[in-house]
Amino acid sequence: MLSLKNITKKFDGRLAVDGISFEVETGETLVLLGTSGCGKTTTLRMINRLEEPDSGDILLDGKSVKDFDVQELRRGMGYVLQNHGLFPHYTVAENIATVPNLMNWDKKKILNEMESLFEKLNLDPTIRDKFPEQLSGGQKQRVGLARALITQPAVLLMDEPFGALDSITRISIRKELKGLADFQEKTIVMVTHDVQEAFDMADRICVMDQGRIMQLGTPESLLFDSSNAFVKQFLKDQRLQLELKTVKIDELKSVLPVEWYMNSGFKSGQSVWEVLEDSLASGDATIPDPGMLMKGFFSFKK
Amino acid sequence: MNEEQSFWEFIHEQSGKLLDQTWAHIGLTFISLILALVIALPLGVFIARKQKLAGAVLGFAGILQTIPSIALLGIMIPFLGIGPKPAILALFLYALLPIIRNTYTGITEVDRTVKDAAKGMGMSDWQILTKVELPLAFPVLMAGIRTAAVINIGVATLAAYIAAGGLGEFIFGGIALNNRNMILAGAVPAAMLAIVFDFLLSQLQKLNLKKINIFGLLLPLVLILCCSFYVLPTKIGGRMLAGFTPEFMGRSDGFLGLQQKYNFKMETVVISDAVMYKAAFEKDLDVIDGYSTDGRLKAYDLVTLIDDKGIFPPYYAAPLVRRSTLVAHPELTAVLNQLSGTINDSVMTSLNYRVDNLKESPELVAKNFLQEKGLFKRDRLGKGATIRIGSKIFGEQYILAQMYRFLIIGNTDLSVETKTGLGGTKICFDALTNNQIDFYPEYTGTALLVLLKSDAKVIDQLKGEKDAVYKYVKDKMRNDLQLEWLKPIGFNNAYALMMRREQAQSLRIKTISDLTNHLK
Repeated sequence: MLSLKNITKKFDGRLAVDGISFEVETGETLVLLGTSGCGKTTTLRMINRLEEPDSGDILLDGKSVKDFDVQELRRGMGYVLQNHGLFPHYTVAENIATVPNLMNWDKKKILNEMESLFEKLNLDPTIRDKFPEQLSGGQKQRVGLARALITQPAVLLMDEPFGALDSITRISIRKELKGLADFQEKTIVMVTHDVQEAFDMADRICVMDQGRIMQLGTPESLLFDSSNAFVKQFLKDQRLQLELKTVKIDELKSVLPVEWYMNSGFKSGQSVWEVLEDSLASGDATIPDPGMLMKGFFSFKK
Repeated sequence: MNEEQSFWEFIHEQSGKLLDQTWAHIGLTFISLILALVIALPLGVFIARKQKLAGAVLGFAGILQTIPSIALLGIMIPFLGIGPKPAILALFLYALLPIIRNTYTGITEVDRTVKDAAKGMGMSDWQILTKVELPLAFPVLMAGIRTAAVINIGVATLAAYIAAGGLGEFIFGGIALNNRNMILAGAVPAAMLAIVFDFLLSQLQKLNLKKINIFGLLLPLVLILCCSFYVLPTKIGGRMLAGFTPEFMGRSDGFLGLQQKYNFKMETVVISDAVMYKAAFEKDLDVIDGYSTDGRLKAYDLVTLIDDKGIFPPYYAAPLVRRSTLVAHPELTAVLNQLSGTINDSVMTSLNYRVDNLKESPELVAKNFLQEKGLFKRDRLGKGATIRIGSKIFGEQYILAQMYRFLIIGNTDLSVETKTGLGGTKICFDALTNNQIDFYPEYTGTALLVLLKSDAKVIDQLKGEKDAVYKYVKDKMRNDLQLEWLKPIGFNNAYALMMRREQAQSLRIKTISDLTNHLK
């Protein structure tokens, strides 16, 4: 478990992070969401001590990060950077093996881990000896992920990990990641300015503005339980889509006609959005009737 | 005249010397470069970490770079004496800036994200430096080292000025002796060294230094450093050491004559005339060559050794004038001849002493002398044609040029332009034959041996007799080159070997033969 206690950080006298506290449960994914300059990246960088807080403390499993050897601490946390941050003079394999080499892993062990990561992350094995500049954007970001995951750290820090990718690549990598067992078990703190991405990845979302937390909660609570004007404004443009993605079809059971519910053929656990997408994709717009589904969705909201 | 020797013949004949000089040149360059690397590389890394200091450090190294090489060498003589030590220090200082600057630039230009990633992966500062920053800065760093190497090969030619050897011995000897083959024998290998070094370093640049191993790199450096010291000329302690100018080394009436006629076998280094006297005074050297009228004889309390076997021909000074100038301005002959017979050896020595050691201006010394002799007349501010007076680059020539200037502007309506400091004999003489100057003071011996390159038979016939030599060069130049010798001024500025008075007396050395006997 990771907990931040009243963290403050100033740059040149200006408050970048102003009294932030939160906890991330083991295995949970917490997304720091906000516009640029809101302090989310600084908050992330204080966790692996790339920045040191001016006041407050950060605890990893109850022990202050200050009490760790800083290099040990960092090696124990996977770190994925915006624009991948790959070493241009290292091959793909050497990049991925960076941390294991620092930890003096056995060569065989490194090779085995690398092989399985190539498979999990859908990386073409022929790029192993290529240099980063020879890779596509998606490949670079996957290599960056592999580099962070190879030592199977308990904590993973991701700073705008998909920021430099086109939207199609971004969505497909996100899907793959979410499906990975390795990924689901980890304690993850991720920074993004992309609302869809935050809702897609997060167990809980922490919305930040001007160094402070505006609201911290599950995606549902942000959408349906928000009293915060900033959060409302922040989500306004994408609210409908976010709500449709957040509400599960099972939740509409009480407001939909029984025969619709029986005939529609959805899978339990799907979001309303997914059921709508499936019905549009099937070409038969009557089963399940999207109009009925939307009607049910709106009466559920009331 | 001698048949012109071909370049290859020269190289072949001098191959032993050439090889020595080349090795010394490589040694000087390598040692200074490696020392510079050892200091500049960490310094570059340091200022990349502490950027506030970068301006000051780079500025200081920049200032070092702007000090003229000869001045820098000169400054070091009192502290380090002569020989390889001051030369290496000077070269070391010149190599600092390019290496510091390129190390600094290379490291600061490494992408921030990449440094962040390295830190975030848990690399230590040393690992970030050696695994990420230095490998990524390596091309820029190597460019700096290549620049420093090429600069050093160039500047190392000047090492010959302070008895540190190197290819400069041929280059400066060649310039002084008007010997093109000798100049090329030094310049071509120096240029080739620069090209070869640059090429080898460019190959090194292609090495994969990803897994940079500091000790693997240091080992060959240390080996090269040790080897380099081995090839440098070393002074052997306890024995007497001679220092001769590059010109003297190559002249038949200089070092070659000493070897032939006196069987001279002293430990010898090559050194510039500018620092030679001082080095003798400081006891870095025991025997030097010099000119018998040099003011520094007096200043440093040196004595000339008697040339008992007569190898140094007479060097009587007289104006050497273009005939076309004398035809156009017939009044000039009488005016210039006014100086004839007025200056003997000791007078010239003390005039030189005033300029070289008391730092009086040549103009003032010339004026005072003419006033004393009643030859000074007020400037007639003539608007006539301009006479261009040349001079070589030492005090005596400056004084004579000024005397001639006063005589011309005081006695004729001609105006005068002085082009003083025309380097060595060759530069002056070329300026005269190419009609860039009208006359300059030349010495009969120099004309006989250097300008006319007379063969041994002629020289033997003349037997070093003052009048015979004068008549020979006068006739020869009149017929072959349309140049006229006016009357000799009177003094004989011949070559001489010199020693500290106190040492010469204690060893009872009066003649060159005494010296060679003492060495046995």
